[in-house]
Amino acid sequence: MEGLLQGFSVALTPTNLFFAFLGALLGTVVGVLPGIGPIGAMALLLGATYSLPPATALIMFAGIYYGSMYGGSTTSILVNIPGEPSSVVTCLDGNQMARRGRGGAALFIAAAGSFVAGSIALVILSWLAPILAEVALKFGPPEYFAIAVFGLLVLSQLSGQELLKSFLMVGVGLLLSTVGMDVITGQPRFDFGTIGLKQGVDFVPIAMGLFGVAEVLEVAKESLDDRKDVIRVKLRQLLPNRVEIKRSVGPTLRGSVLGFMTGLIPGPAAVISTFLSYTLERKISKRPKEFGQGAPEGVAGPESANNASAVGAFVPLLSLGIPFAPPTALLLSAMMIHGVTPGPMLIQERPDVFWGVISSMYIGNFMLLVLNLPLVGIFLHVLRTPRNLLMPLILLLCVVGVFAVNNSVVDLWIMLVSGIGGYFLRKMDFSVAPLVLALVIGPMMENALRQSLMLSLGSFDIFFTQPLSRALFILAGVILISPVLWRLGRRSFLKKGDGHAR
Amino acid sequence: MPDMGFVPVIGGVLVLGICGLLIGKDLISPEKGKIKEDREEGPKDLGSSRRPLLISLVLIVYPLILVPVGFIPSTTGLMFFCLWIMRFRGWFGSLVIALMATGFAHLLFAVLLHVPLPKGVLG
Repeated sequence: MEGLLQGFSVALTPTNLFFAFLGALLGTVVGVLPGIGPIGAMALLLGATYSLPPATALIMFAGIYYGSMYGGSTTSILVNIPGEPSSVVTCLDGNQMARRGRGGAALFIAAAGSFVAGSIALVILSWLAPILAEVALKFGPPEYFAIAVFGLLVLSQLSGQELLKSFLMVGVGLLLSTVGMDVITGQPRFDFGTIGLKQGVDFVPIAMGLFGVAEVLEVAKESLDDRKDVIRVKLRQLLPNRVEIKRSVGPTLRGSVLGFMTGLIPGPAAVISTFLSYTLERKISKRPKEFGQGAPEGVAGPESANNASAVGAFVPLLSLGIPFAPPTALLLSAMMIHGVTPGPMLIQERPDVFWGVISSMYIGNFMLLVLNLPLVGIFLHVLRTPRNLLMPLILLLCVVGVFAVNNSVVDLWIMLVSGIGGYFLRKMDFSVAPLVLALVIGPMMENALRQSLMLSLGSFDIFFTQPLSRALFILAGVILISPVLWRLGRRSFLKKGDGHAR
Repeated sequence: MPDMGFVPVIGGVLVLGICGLLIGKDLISPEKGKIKEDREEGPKDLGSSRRPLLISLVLIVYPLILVPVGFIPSTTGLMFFCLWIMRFRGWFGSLVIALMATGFAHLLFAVLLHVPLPKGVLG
């Protein structure tokens, strides 16, 4: 509680309040706009936050992340276009509600559900993160290596693509992370004699290329004539009726808990949490046939879940210093750029940052509730920005943003190569999230592996003699082989069924 | 004891092995590995497939000219060609937007945030 009060004293300064508001506003705008997501927006602004104090910059970045979860629902409901992947499910019932004249109520349910879920998740975060950070102080290199391997394996399973493709992306990310100065020996690796590569491959140009430039190239190929059929909502139509409120309370509470727990799992937690919540609500509903026709539960559950999972994703970042999703990987990058070392020591070394960010999220969450409903019309105007103007502007921000980080033309080349590469990877159904995470986790993972092997004089037994690392490796093994076993089991079951049918 | 080549070698072997498996898989069942065809429905302008290539070319030229030519002329050029390739109004409208956007970016990064952007020919 003392820490939280200290955090509020940081978050309530006029500067930090302004940047929390700016982050929430920008987050909502990028959430509304399909194409540019929170990762792209944060990466673009990284160069612009150098002069800010670390807590202020991180407060703004956190605002962008959770603000985008709010914004995504608006377009799902009123235009049937999800601004973010985590709002895809909201289209199903949200847009149906809007078509039946209940768009205002759907927006209110989504915003109120997001607010309640965000607040519940924040209470759990404030309680859980310090406990986990204290436990993590006892972790050694084998435990950190096991957590990193576990995280990458689970992410590979959940990234929604073929497992081999995920592993390939992880491998490429890990290889890229080995470029530059070796932390243990101080020797340069794979720098081809260039000064620009001596410091390693920076995360920002890779992220900007894969998420920004690749998106621009992809949109350039599509039809640029994109007039959208927007359903209009008046301010007085925003209040839901009693039945809608009653039907939304349960899904909001369940979505909050489910979303927070999903946020702790590596991978695209916000997206997964919405699908889980929707499936759960439909399963336990007394009116399952109404789902897909405009059921309020189909809006309240997923929208609460994605906000809670966004908050949940902060737990591994703040307490272990390990990001489990690309947006938190960018937050980690932002922390390091501002000289803040994330991990279990963060709460002791920089309580202003740790508690300041958490406290600002309480305030930002409230700002978003106030901001989102009355200004819905303005956000929809943003959506009408022609894509053939928006994409070159994004490109401009990408090149300036990347150059501003290190004043390096090498970074521009890295962004260019990863942008063109990312474009082709998308075409071949490769998800780039494992690559990005492996690039960020890579140095920590390599250090943990080599330090562990030094401690054990080269023996790999060390990973199985420590209880936590042993448990994590066993769990990772189970996760790795379970889909294969499931597929084999299903195949033999189907064969048996065919035999009986004959 | 593991030296600094330990992880890159393991990573390299892993990547090569997975590539081999993916290529093998694709040779056995080519359909799964095929590049996605454009699934878009409706009429499309013929230049759409060329646009990513043209933007990529403009992007390749940009880092080459940024330092010698300077931020303002090279970025205005980049913006102008991108707007023109993406068919944002006529050439004059594209030029005006390109100049305005570059000017705003210069104001934000060079003037307000003191990021040293290359001056090039403008000295």
